[in-house]
Amino acid sequence: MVEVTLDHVSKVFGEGAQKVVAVDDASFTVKDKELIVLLGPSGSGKSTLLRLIAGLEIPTSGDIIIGNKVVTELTPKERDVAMVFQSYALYPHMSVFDNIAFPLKIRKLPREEIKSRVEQTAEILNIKHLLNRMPGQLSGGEMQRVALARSIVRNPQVFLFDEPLSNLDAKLRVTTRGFLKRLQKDLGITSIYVTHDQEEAMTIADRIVVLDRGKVQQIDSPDAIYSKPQNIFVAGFIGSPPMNLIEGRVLMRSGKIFFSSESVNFELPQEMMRNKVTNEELDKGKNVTLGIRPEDVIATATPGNYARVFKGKVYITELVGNTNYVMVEAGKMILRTVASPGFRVEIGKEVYFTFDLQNIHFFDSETQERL
Amino acid sequence: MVEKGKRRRRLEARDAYLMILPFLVLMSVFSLFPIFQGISLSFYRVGLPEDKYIGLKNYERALVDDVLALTLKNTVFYGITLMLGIVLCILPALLVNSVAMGNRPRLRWVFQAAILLPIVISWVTLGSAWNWIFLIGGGALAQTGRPGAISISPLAQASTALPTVGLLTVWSTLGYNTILFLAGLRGIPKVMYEAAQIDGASNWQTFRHVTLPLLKPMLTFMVVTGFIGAFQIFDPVATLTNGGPGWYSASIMFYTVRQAWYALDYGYAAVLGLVVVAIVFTLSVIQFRLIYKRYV
Amino acid sequence: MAKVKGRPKTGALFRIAAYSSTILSLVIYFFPFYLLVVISLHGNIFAQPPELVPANPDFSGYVAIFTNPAFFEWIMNSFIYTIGISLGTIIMSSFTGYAFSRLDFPGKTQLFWLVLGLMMIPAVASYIPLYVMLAKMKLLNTYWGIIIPPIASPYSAFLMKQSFDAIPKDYEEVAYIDGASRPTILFRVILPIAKPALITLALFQFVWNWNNFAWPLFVATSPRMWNLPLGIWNMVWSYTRDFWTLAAGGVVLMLVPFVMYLIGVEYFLRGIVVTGLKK
Repeated sequence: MVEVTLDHVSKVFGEGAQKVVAVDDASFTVKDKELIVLLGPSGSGKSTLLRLIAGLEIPTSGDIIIGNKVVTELTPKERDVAMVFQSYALYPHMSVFDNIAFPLKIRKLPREEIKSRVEQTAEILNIKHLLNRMPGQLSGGEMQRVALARSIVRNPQVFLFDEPLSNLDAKLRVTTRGFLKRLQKDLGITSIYVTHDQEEAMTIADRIVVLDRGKVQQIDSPDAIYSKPQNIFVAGFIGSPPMNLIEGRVLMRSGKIFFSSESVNFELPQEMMRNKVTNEELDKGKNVTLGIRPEDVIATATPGNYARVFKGKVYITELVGNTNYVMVEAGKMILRTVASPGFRVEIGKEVYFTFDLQNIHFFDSETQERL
Repeated sequence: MVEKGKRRRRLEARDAYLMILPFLVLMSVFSLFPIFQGISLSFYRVGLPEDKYIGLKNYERALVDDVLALTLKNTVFYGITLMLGIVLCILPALLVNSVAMGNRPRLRWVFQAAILLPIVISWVTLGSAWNWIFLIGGGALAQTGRPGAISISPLAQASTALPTVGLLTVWSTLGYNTILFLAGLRGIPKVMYEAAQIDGASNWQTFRHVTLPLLKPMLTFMVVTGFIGAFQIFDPVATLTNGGPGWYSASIMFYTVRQAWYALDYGYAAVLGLVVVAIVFTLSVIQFRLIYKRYV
Repeated sequence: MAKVKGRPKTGALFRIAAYSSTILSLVIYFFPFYLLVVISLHGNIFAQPPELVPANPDFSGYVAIFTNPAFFEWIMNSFIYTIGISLGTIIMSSFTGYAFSRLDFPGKTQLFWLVLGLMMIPAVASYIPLYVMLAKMKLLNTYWGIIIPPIASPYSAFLMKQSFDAIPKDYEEVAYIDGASRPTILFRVILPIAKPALITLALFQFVWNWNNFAWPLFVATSPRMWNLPLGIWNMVWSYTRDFWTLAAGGVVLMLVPFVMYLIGVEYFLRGIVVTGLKK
């Protein structure tokens, strides 16, 4: 049973004016055999976090526990973790076989055992035919598999991945993603995976840790993160194309609750705001941000008989796959919507759009938190 | 906050000290200490039966030393010659680069290999070779009986020794500088030339507005280094003319060595050495500041 | 300068100029050495026209060299000094360069500036006080006295540091995570990767030390400890001898660096570019 726990881990670089808080009080536990993804934009601290777990850096405060051992100050060797780098870092002067065998060689294992383990691992990753080649002769995908083999051959407690797919071309990335996920399940080794690509995270993760500027924003399964983002950052970061975020206010007028903004204004059913906003706030009017995903906003030619319909003008359209995204100018904002089937859209033309209240998210504009 | 990682940092520092200790020791003894030794030496007259402390006498001597003044002048001359030589290297570099860029990379290789040769050859050999060449040339000219023919080597004549040594020094460093320029030119992305081409720039305009500005940092650095290098010239002088005739082609470094080795006046040589070090150090610091401020 | 396609006239002009300057450079740069070889073979260059290919090559000069015990000693010394100093410098600067590049320790910045500062001091200037120091240490005119002092070369240490800086840290980090100890990482990972830089350093060191005669000039007080360039130089300027023998000496002196040069031109070229541009 190998769990990885971070207990109030922080990492600060530099001092005084050049102080950088790379990781700010991160706490979470990775479950046994889980593949957890650290997701965030550059500078969010995800790589630093990974390196802290690996032992390449030591936290400024907090503890790291792997298995049942507190490893905070231990060297990587003592932690029994393996890491796959973005650049693969294959030793250029050694053959593929020697590269994979290296971790075993330095542990002074007998030659026959090294040979059989290397070949076994190479078999799993389909690179047995490459064992005698030099890294310089390999393609990107092959190099990546060698890097994987080098990590696997040791049978470590934990796998660490630092953006391993970033150097591959788009198509290869997609196929390798699935391969990695399958491999991890088969091997059953607890894994921590860093990426900035939210699509990648959504497809392979058991759970995702979303990070922004060193702070943990939300830890949840991909579904939960997608459908219930806990704050504006997560809402805007996850999902491609990104969620529409409309700043506005929620207030009570003549017994009814309204949402008003510079683009859309409509009435809200009372239950929606019940446990989220107090009556005083409603009287005064509370600043909230409304979030709704493009696929939940339908653009149509005619008002039809929807409950709530708004008018706008087509700004531009984007055809992605078989989905036609329509950017609609509504009031002072531009919203991203999806064209209803069969709707022929022209730039500049008037258009109507509607959405289902089920799919709305509300966030407190001041705290950025979900309501 | 508790200081974490102390153990790791201590280990790292220990490993580091282990690795650099021999170097530190040797460097302190043989590179750092000589400076202090040199300063102390400058206050003595080194000789038998023992060294005699003479205070600032050596320095006073330096101030009125005509030979020192002459060699300083010579050295500045060398410096300027070297600087000019460096600037001149741009031309062949440009030429070869433009052609090689097109379709003949081999050309560049051969060219570089040829001009690099003098760098690996000792000046003892070079000096000997050039002395011979001038002898032959002089001999050949004298035989033709033409009026004004130089019958002795330009290296042996007071008026021409200095410039000849300067010229030969430039000859030997041409290779190094041209190669550097070639590399620098290679570093200019081809797209810049293409953009200039599309904008309709002529060859000269491209050179002035694209090549030159991009080459400037390198040029500046090399030119200043070249000037500083003049203060260290010893080998060419020693092997071509041995300073002569008289001291007319001597560089300051040569004079310094001569004082130490031949006149055995180590005290005075120490002063001279310090002068050289002071000049070079100051120039280097200026150069450092220059480059840092403008280009970093 | 941009080569505008479709303007063949200018192109041809450039090409001719480039080719002729290449040929010219070949001539200017190889000719002096060729001449030296001719002279050493007793080619009669004072004849009209000068005899550029010796009709009766006379190897007596070379024979004289190789049978002259002094010459032979000088050549031996040259090898000892060159190999000794070069090897010592390479080893020392590798360790030092690695420490500065990868490790952190108190006093690192100050030490680094010290090394940089010492780099700016011309070596020849320090020979003088060094002579006095070595005399006091009774190391004058000894092999140790000649070989040890130049080994702690700030310049070489700086070079190696730059070379190590250029190697991505990834390799070491992977090895570290996989459990390698620091010596293992240094010897089995870093040094092999840094091989080109090491070879370049070795070549430059070798050539420089082989040709250096200013240093032994100070430290070798007896002609028996001279190296080859010093020996030849002294003979040329102290009393006129058999010029042909001296020319032969010059050729012999030149052979070693020349051979190294032919073998490693690539490395020399790369070395110049790398050290020159890094600034």
